[in-house]
Amino acid sequence: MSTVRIWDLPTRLFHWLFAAACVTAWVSGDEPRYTDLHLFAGYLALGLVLFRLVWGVMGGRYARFSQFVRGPAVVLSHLRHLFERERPHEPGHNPAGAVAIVLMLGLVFALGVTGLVVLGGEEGFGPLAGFFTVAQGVTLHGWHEWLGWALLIVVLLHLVGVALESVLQRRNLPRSMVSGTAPANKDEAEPHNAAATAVVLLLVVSGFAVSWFYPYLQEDKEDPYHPFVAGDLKRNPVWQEACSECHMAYHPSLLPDRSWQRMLDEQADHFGEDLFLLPETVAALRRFAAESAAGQVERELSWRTLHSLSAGQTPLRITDTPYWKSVHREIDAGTWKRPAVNGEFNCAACHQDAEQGGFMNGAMRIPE
Amino acid sequence: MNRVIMIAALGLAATAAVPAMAADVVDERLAAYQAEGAGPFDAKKGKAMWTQQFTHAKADKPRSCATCHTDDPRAQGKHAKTGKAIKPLAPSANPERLTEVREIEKWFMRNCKWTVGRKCTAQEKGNLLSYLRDL
Ligand code: HEC
Ligand code: HEC
Ligand code: HEC
Repeated sequence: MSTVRIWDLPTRLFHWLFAAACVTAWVSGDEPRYTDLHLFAGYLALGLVLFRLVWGVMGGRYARFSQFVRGPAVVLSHLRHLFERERPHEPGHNPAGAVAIVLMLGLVFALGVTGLVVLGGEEGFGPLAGFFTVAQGVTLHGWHEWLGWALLIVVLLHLVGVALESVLQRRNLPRSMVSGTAPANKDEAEPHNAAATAVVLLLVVSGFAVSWFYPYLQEDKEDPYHPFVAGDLKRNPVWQEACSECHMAYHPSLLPDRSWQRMLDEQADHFGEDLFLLPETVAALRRFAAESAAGQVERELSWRTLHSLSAGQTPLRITDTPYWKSVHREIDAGTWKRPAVNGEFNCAACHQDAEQGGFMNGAMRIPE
Repeated sequence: MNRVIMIAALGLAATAAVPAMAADVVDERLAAYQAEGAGPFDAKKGKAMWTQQFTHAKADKPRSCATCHTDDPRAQGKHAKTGKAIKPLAPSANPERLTEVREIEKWFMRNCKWTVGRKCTAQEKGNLLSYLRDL
């Protein structure tokens, strides 16, 4: 046997880009601040799955599904004979590795699709915006997380398998995935490197990355780049003026209508202040609250706020709702007392789009 | 006084959008308070009331106009409870101030109740406006 090419260039490039996209998506998934990075990695991974499906039909010898995907009997027999000295020589993917590959491609495809539903339903962004309700987005958010855990398990099994095979067969599988070569007979070699396809793949991915992250290069302190801007939130000049005099104007979608109506009923004692609002002002405020309160608009934060309250609860403070408490539970008491923050009600200290009513992922910075 | 007129006039010339001049609106208010039986008005008494500390049932600490607007109405203030910045109140520092009757009366209602614990009298309001106008 000699050292010959097994993996063509697109297969190797795919492998490492796909691994990088999955790791990035995994670590950025839990932090709302990094949602933009998470989405980039998710789109990249989904695009790579589609590329791999095509390459699995049209690609090189060992990249084709028909070459390495085998039935359960073959997989079981492979596992049964795993530790035997004399095993059939297999230059490409072995039958157990093939199972992991199919599972990973399938799981990432499902993660991509559920992710797009979450994005469209909960946040109102992406290609599926408008097709799903917040409630559907929230349901699929749960699925999306379970799929993520399933992917983690399959990836770990894949890594264990690669390590085991590398030891058992005394050949460095990860290095092969870089160099493309492995010990095999000359007639088993992959004839084409398909470098042109790899270059096109690399160009498309780089172009996507540059267009995604370019705005960050142009932002500055005064004008930070917000990848998500709350869509068509209704605004009202009376509300904006009357309710922004002592603190930022809280958008009505932050509390249910019953809370706003109660607040206006009790305007003579608004957290210790008498608002002295004129009857016509109050009437205009009541109308705007009734049409834009949580429950009236399709917004994730409204939906979650409403669902965290029981029907009898009519909180006057946003900061008293269980939803608000749960998303801020990790912020310690000292942070709220910082002069730059100055209290829980001061949303705009940390949410750069609070004045616009946004509270979108990626627009949060806790000031020092 | 000349300076107020000059700044107000400049403001008016620069932005035709400025609706009224503080001096005119204050004059109109003082006349209205006089019609209610108050006057004559004393800017010195207004200045004294500005920093006078009031204690009342609702307040845990003594309160004054300066609590939010600082001792100098020409300086930027800060809302005592919410921390929101308040632009200077004296028209000499902020020509947009005291240009709308509705705003003036609304804030007298709110701020007197919060600070003093009751409505301000026409006499007190006249003294305070005279003080603010003359700064
Ligand atoms: C005269 C000053 C003033 C005006 C005008 C005012 N507020 Fe307030 N508001 C306050 C103060 C003071 C607090 C309590 C801040 C704190 O937590 O100490 C408050 C708190 C709130 C809170 C609770 C925030 C939280 O979750 O902790 C809401 C909601 C609110 N205001 C809504 C409104 C609305 C709606 C309007 C317009 C109708 C309005 N405010 C106008 C002074 C004002
Ligand atoms: C001290 C800074 C700070 C203040 C003040 C603050 N928040 Fe937040 N908020 C955060 C952070 C940090 C997160 C993200 C928590 C996490 O990692 O999940 C967050 C998350 C949220 C979310 C969830 C966003 C999402 O899509 O997951 C909402 C909604 C929200 N805040 C609303 C508010 C409102 C309304 C106020 C004012 C009444 C407020 N916040 C005040 C720091 C702050
Ligand atoms: C709790 C904080 C607070 C206190 C105390 C307070 N004010 Fe104010 N005052 C405000 C705020 C907030 C505004 C509105 C600021 C704005 O429009 O930007 C205001 C506005 C005003 C205005 C309206 C000016 C205009 O034409 O726009 C007047 C007059 C005024 N205050 C007088 C007083 C007087 C007199 C006192 C003492 C009796 C007082 N204030 C005490 C917070 C306060």
